[in-house]
Amino acid sequence: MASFLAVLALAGGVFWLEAPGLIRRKRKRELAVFVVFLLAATALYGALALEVKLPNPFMIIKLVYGGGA
Amino acid sequence: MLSKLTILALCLLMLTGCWSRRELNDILVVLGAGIDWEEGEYLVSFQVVNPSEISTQRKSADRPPVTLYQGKGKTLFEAARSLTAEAPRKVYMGHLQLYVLSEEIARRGLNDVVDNMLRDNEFRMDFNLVVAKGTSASDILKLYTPLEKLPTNNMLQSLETSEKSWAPSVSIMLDEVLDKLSNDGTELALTGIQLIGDPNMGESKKNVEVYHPPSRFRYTGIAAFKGDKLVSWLNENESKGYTDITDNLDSTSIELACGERDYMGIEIISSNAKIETKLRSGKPEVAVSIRSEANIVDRSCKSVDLTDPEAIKRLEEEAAKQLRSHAEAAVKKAKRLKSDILGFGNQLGKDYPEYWKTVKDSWNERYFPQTEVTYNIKLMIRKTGTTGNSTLKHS
Amino acid sequence: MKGKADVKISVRQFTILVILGVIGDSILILPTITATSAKQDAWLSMLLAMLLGMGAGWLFASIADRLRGESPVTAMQARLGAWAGGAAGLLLLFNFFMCVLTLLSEMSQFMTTQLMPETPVNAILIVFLAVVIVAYRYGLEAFARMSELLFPVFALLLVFLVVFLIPQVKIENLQPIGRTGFFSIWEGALPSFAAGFAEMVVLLMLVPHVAAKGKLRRPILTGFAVGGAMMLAVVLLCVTVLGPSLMETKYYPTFVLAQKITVGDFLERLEAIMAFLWIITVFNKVLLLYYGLTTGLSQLLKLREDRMLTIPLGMILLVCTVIGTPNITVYNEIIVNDYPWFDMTFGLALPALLLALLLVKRSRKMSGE
Repeated sequence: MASFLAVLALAGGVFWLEAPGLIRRKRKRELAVFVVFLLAATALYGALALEVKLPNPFMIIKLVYGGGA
Repeated sequence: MLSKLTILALCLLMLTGCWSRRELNDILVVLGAGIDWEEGEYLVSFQVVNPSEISTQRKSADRPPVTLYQGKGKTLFEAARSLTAEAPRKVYMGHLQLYVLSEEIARRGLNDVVDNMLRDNEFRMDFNLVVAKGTSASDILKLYTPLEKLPTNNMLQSLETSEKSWAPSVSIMLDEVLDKLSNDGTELALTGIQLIGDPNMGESKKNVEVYHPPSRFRYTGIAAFKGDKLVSWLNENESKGYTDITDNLDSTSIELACGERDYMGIEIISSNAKIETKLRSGKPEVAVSIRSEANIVDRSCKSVDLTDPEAIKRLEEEAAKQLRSHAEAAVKKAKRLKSDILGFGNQLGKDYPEYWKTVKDSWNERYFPQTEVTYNIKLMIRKTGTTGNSTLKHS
Repeated sequence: MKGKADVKISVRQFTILVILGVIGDSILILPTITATSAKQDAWLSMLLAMLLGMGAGWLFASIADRLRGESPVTAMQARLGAWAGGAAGLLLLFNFFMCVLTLLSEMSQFMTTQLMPETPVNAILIVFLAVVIVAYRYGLEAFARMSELLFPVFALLLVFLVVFLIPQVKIENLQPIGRTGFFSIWEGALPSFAAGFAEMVVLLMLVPHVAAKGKLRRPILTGFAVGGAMMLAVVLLCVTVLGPSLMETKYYPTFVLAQKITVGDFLERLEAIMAFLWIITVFNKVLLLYYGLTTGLSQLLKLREDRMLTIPLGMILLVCTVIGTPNITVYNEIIVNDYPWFDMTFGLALPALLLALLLVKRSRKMSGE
C-alpha cells in the first residue's frame, strides 16, 4: 500500500514538474500526449506496486518468434 | 536551477552507500575451508582470521590468530549458514586461499562441491584445492603452524614452494579443476595433505612452543581421480612422474646410487615436457619427451670424478633413467586405474580431432590402457656447484 | 529554446557513439552465449558476426547517406503516408523499446548477481534511469561530448584488461581450431550479430544531427569495425585465458577475466574498476536507444517538445523491465533463441524497406516527376 501511494506521489510530482511549463507555452497537443503517457506509466507502476500480475512484454516476442532458432 | 537540484539530489543518493555494503567488521574473512562427510551430512569447517591477533599494533589477550567454525547441513549452503548460530558474523569467501577436501568426500564425488563453489558470487577462482589423507579436513584446519601466524598461509605457500622445488605436489586452482572435470581428455589429480603427529596436540598453542612441533602437516602424494571421484593415491615416484609429464616440474632432487650406501645428489633446475601424439594404423601412440637441466649438488661417491667428462655423461644417463622410471611408473599407474590423469587424451583431441571424436567415450576404459607410450628423456648436467672434486679425504 | 534540428554532433562523436553502442551489453553476456554453441571456436563466431555486421553497416550507411539529414521516422511517414508510415515508425520504436528492456534487464541482473546481491533491482533501475533521463534532458550534444570524454577511459581500461592478462593466455585453448563445425559457429554468430550490429539500427536516428552531409558511410563502417574488433579481442581473451569450459559455465565471463588479473602478486582484485568498462558501454547504448525512442515518439506524433515524455517513459521502462525478468532462466531462454530473430526483423528487414523507399523516391525524382 505504501509503495502505491509513493507511486501516486511520484506521478503527482512529475505532473507538477512538467505541466505548468506546457500550459504556459500553450502546447495543447503535447500536454495531451504527456497526460496519456503519465497515466499509462502511473497505471503500470501502480499495478506493480500493488503486485498485480502483469503480462511479460517479452512474451510478445516469444509468441511471434517462438520455437527457437 | 531545477536541473542543478536534481543533480545534487542524485549525487547525494550515491553517498548513502549501496544496499549491499558490508563493513569490514561485519564480515568473517575465511582463509581456509574444509569439507567432511559425517553421518550423511556435510560438515563444513571454516578457518577464520582473528584480525586483532595478527595486527602488529595491538597485542591483546592470548587468542589464537585464527578460529575454526563448523556447520553441518545437507547442502553446502545450509552448512555454511548454520554456523552463524555460533559465529558472530556472516562469512566472506573472497579471501579464501585453501580448500581442503576430505578423502571421503573426494571418493564420493566432487561435482556437487565444485558446483556450489562456481555458483556463489563471492568465491574467486584463485584458491587451491587439496585432499586430506588419513585425517579429516577439519583436523588439518585446526593446526597451529610455526613461522606463519595464519596456518592456511603456511600451507598455501608450502604448496606453491613444494610444487616448484620438490615435485610430488601440484598446486591446482578452481578454474583448472573445472577444466579437468569438464574435459574428456584429462582426469583430475589433486595434491594430498597429511597430518603428522598427534592431531590433538596440533590444536593447542603448545604445538608451536617447542622447536620441533609434534604435529605438522605435510604434502604427500597426488590423488588420482576418475571423473569426479578419487580412485587412488600415487606414491612418491609416480607423483614425480606425474608432475614431470604434465610439465609442472621446475626443480627437484634425484639420488643416484653408486654403491650400497652412497648416493650422488642431482638437482634438476628446469624441466620441459612435451606430449606428442601419433596415430599409427588406427592406434594412438604417445611420445613423451622431457628435457631437463641439472646440477650436481651432492658428491658422496669416491669413484666418481667430477672433472671427467665421461663421468658426467654417465651421471646424465643414469639420472635420465631415473626420470624415465618415474614417468613409466606414473603412466603404468594411470593405465591400471584406467584414468588418463596425464592428459594424453586431451593432446590427442587437439592433434587428431576426428579420431578423438570416435574414441573419446571409451578412452579411459579401452584405448588409454592400450596406448603405447615412448619416452625421450634428455638430461643435461650443467654445473657442479662451486667446486669440482673437493679436497676432503674420504675414508 | 534551440530548435532541435540545430543540434549537431561531430563525425568523431558519432563514430564513438557507434563504437560504444556496438559493444553495448555484448561485452557482458555474449561470450557465454557464443561459447555454449561454438565452444573453443567462439572467436570464429565473433569474426563471422563481424563480417555480417559490416554488411549491416553498409546497409545502414546507404540509408544514412540517402536520408539527407532527415530522420528515418519522418522519412517513412513522408513516403508511406500518415498511417502506413506511422505504423512502420511504431514498429521501429517498438524495437528500440524492447532493446532498452533487454539492456536494463541485463545490467540490473549483473549488478545483483555479481556486485550487490542484496540490493533490490528496483533501486538499481531507478538510479540508472534517473541518470539516463537527466542526460537526455541535457541534449544530444551534451551526451555526445560525454561519450567522447569517456571513450579514452574505456579504451584504456580495455587495454589494461588485455595487457595484464597476456601472461595468462594459453593459446592451446583455441585448439582444435574450427572443429566444432560450421553450424555451431553460425549458431554462435547469430546472437552476436543481432545484439552488436543489428540493434545499432538506432544510429539512424542520429543521422539528422551529424555535421557531415551525405558522407556517413565511413564513420558508420569505422565504428562497426572498431567495435567489432574490440568485441573480438574480448572473446579471444575469454577463450584463451578462461578456456571454453569456464567461459560457458559462468554467466559473466568478462567479470571473471577481470578477477583473474594479477600483476606481480600485487595488482589484484581489480574487477570493480573493470566494472566501469561495461557500465560505460551499457549506459551509452541505453542512452542512445532512449534518445531514439523519445525523439522518435515526438516525431511520430508530431510534437514540438519531447522533454515532458522523459519521466513517464522512464517509469514505463522500469516497470516493463521488472515484469520482463521474473528470473534469469526465462530471460536467457528468450534472449538466446527468439530475440535475435526479432532484432534482425527490425534491424535489417525494416531498414531494407526504408532503403527501398528512399531509392524509389530518388529514381522518381531523377526521372523528373
